[in-house]
Parts: sequence; C-alpha cells; structure tokens
Amino acid sequence: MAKRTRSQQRRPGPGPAVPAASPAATASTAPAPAAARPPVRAAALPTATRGRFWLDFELSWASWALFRLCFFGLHAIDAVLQLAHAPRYGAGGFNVPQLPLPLLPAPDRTGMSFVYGLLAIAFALCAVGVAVRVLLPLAAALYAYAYFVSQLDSYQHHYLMCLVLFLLCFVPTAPTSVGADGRRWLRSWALRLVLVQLAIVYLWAAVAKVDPAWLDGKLLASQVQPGRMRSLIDGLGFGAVAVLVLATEVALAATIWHRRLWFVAAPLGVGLHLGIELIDLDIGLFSYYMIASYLLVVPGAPAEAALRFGRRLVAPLARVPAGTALAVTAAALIAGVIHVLRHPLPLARAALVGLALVAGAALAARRGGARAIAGRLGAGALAFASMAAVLATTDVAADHFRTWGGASRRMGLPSERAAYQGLLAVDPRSEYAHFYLGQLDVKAGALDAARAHFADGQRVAPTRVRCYLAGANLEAGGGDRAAAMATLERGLAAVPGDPELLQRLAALRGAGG
Amino acid sequence: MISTLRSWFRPAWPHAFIAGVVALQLLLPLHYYLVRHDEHDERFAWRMFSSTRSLTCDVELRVDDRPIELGREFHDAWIAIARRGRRAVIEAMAARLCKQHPGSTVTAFLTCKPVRGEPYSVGGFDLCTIPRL
Repeated sequence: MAKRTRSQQRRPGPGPAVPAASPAATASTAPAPAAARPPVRAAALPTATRGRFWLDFELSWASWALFRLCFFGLHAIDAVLQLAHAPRYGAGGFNVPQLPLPLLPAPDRTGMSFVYGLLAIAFALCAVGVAVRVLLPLAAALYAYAYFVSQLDSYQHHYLMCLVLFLLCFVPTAPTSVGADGRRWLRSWALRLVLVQLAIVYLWAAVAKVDPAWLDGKLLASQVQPGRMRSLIDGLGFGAVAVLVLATEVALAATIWHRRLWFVAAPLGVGLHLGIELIDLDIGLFSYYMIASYLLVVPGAPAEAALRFGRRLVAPLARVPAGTALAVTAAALIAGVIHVLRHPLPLARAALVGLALVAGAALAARRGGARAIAGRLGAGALAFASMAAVLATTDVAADHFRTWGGASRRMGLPSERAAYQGLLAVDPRSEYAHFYLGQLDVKAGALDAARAHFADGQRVAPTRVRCYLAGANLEAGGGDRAAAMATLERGLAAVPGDPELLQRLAALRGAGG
Repeated sequence: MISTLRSWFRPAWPHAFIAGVVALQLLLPLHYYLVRHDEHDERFAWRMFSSTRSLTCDVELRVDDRPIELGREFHDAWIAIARRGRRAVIEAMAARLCKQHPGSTVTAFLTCKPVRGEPYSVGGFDLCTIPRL
C-alpha cells in the first residue's frame, strides 16, 4: 500500500526535491516547518514530464487535497444514497454475482446497509485526510465487495470507481517534496495510472460508439430526456452531437494522461460530463465523479487558493483552547453516533465500527496532543453528521423501506410488516405504510389495529381514497353498514365526486334497500 | 538473501504492476468483442450509452409450459436486468426454478427488440437439461 513520506531520488529537473515531512507526518498534519526543510529546488514548477513517465509524475499537494476532499466527499454521499438500494440484495434468496467468487458472503439487506454505512463514514474521514493509509484500502475493499457481489449493481462507473479506489491506495498520504516557494508536491506513479485508466475508459467508450445506431444520432435521441437539453441538441442535430461526443472521447483518451495537453483535456472533459449530467440520464453520481477527477488535471494555483481559503475558514478553531476543542468534538461525535444508532435503517453495526475507526485514528494521533485528538474526533463527528444530513434531506430511508415493503408484498415474504413499520418510523405521515399495514392487520384478524391504520391513512392523506375504501370495506365486512357509509361520506367530503367512493356508497345504500 | 531479493524487486515492482494494470484494462474489453457468449452482457467493456443498453426484451419463464409470474419469484431489479437480455441472470433464474420444481421442464423465451434491426428470439428449450441460453 501507499508509503508515507520518504525521500526519493529525483531525475534531472529544475532542482532537487526534498522530503517534506517527517516520517511520522500524515496527510492531515500541518506542513513541515520551514526550519526543517533542507535545500529546495529552484523553481516550483512540476517536473514530471521531464523525468520518468511513471515514477516522476508529480502534482501539487493542494490539487491532491482538493481532489481528495471532493472525490471522497462524493463517495461518502453516494454511499448513503446507495442505502436506498440495499433491500433488493438477497431478496427471496436470489443473487447472481459479477464474478464466480464463492467465498464472498452472500449479500442481504442488513449486510449491504452495513457496507454502505461504513463506506460513508470511511470516505468522509478520507475526504478530510484522516487515517487515509488505513481507511482507503478498507473502503476500496468494501466498495469492491459491494460491486462484485451482485450483478444488481449495473453502473459501469461503480466498476471504474473500484479500479480508481484501488489505484489511489498506492498514492502517498503526505507530500513528497517542498518547492522553493513553500508549495508542497506529491509524486506518485499511481496518480499517473489513474489518469491512464481514465484514458483507457474514454478510448473503449469511443470504440463502442463506432456503431451506426450511435453515429446517425438515433441512439442519442432515444436516451436524451425531453427538456431544454433535448431542444438544444435537436437544434444542432442528434447525428452531429453524437459524432462530436465520439470525437471528444477520442480527444480525452489522447490528452488526459499527458500534462502538456491538460489545457485541452480539462475543459473538454468537464464540458462533456456537465452535458451528460444535464441530459438527466439515470447514472447516479457518475458525472460528478468524473468532474471531480478533473481536479487532478487543473493547474495548481486555483487549488492552492482554495486550500488557503479553507485554512482561513478553520483558522479561528486554532484559537479554541485544546481542552474545550476536545470536549466539544467528543460531544459532537457521541451525538452523531447516537443519532445514527437510533435511525430506523440498520446502521447500528456500521456506526459502532465507524466509531471504533475514529477512536483508533484519535488514539494514533495521541502524540500530537489534545488538539490532534480533537481534530480526529471532529472529523469523525463530521462524518456522522454528513451521513445524518444526507438521510435527513433525501428520501433514501423512505425509499429503502418502501422498496423493501413493495418487494416483500409482491414476493409474499414475511418481511412485509417490518418494512412498513420501518417506513412509518422514518415517515409517520406515510399513507402508503398505513394502508398496507391496515391490509396486513385485516388478514391477521387484528381489526382494531387495521381500523386505526386506515383512519391514520385518511388523516395524513385526506385526498387519497384507498384508505376510505379499505375502512368502509372493513366496517361493511363486520356488518356495520352505517359506519361504512359514514367513512365513505367522509371521503366524499374530502374528495367530492370521486367515482370510486360514489360507486361504493351507492352499492351500500342499495344493499340496505 | 531477502534484502537482495527486495533490492531486485523494489525498482521493478511498480513497473510490473503498472504494465499489468494497463494491459488488463486494454485487453479486458476485447473479451466482450471477441469471446463473450452474451452480447447483451456489456460488463467490464466500457460500452457507455451503447445500442445494446437500449435494447429491451420480453422475458417469459415457463415451468412445465405454465408461465411463471416473475414478480412473485424474483425482485423487480432482477427482472429489469433480465429484460435487458442478460443471459447469465436468466439462466440463474431458470436454475432456481429447476431446483424448486425437480423433474419439471423450465423454458425461457426472450424476444428482444434492438434499436436498429429486426426483433429476435432466444431460448425455447428446457434449461434444466441444457442450462445455457
């Protein structure tokens, strides 16, 4: 795996490279003190293209740090979003793995929730540079498991991310040299290999488009959703845009790995992926991952500026007394862990393992004193808070339980009730959950419970008629025709003139003579 | 001895690793174009937005000639993949039905409609005795 900072022999370049940080330093540590810096090279410009193609590939540390923040931050968010899909794994005991790997544990809802939950925490910690050396290989392995364990994950970019994460494990976790101007540099063949990997993907993607269905624009036209982008492409001609996309992919395959051609690759690549995002395909966060990847090929100056801005933002935190910082971050971490532990999604194991990882990182930083420990605990608190924020601001948890319930109902699985109860725990105003729980209670003969669910369904969604109809059927089935008619009349008061309610009411009145 | 071996391999290993990764990534997609049995299975071939991805298939599985309600047996997500014509998934579905109904015949019928060209059919034989489509 990746080595920590170590001195490396440089090939001819503008000046000698120097080790930037002590062997104990990590990516999350402060820059090496100026006094500790041995002679520096004369210029701060990267020299990789003059040296060995692979081994001398160099990037500004700021570019890497910004890439790391955005790339792993996106992964942390994506892992939480994937929780919505966890219930489909192992449903009905059926699975087809990507590769015949019989030793992989069979996936199921709780197992995949654990994997995605832990990935969210690990990636969030990696994003801010905590314990990257340990957490990134762990995250890469979990990510690879999540992808390869089942063909249910049909996103090609998840396969690409498996490869990229694996390669990123070989990137040093601290700067490898410092320039005359104090700028830090990272030398890594693995970063060059990531860019070559992206070039190979573009190359094969272009080969796949050498197809009459793509070249005449018919395929593109079938994939672009209606909207402004479709109108725009239509104006240019689908065939012309299809050829342009193919040419762009060829150009990216030829340029993204070559530093001197990055001025071509960066705008082309970002433009291509922004365009793909705007046509609203069902490709998850693929465009965002790719755009984040282009942070590796943009000039270092904007990244340096972004990093300086970030440092200014967090500078006031340095003035907080160490003891206070420790207490506050520990409290925030505990609050975050408790929040995730109490969440209806099966995240308890992930939260506990995540807490253990944060504690391990804090323990490893103990030689840096209370402030270093507070930094690790703060990063942990941030990881749990980001997971809680995504869960609170999206429908991930509700979708998890809704799809679990729906599949359980269709497949006749005993998990149906637990799924709807989980949905109610996440969203007490779910008419869907009340309706189906009421139906299950009717089947089980728990009529009072069913009546209560139908009444709750009518209360939370007064304009949806199915809980009125189900409630009326329940009362009529029990012989209470008046109560059934009263339920339907309540429904008609909320949804005047609804044909289904009117029809049922007429039938009841007719039955009563 | 060990240190000598280390000194030999240390400079060589990144290059060997890099060569392996690049070669694998350049060649693996060729598997799809040259060898792969199922042209509907585009995994590991980087065929983004391909015409195959836009293909849709009607899938029917029968046990002793009685149609199976797929939604009762398999999750919707698997049915969606089967409707893209991925044979490995349909074969696994059939294998499961064969296990559930020993001694019965399990037949898969696929009718696929490509973006260009005529619809075509796959299957129609007992997958319990010939398990590959």
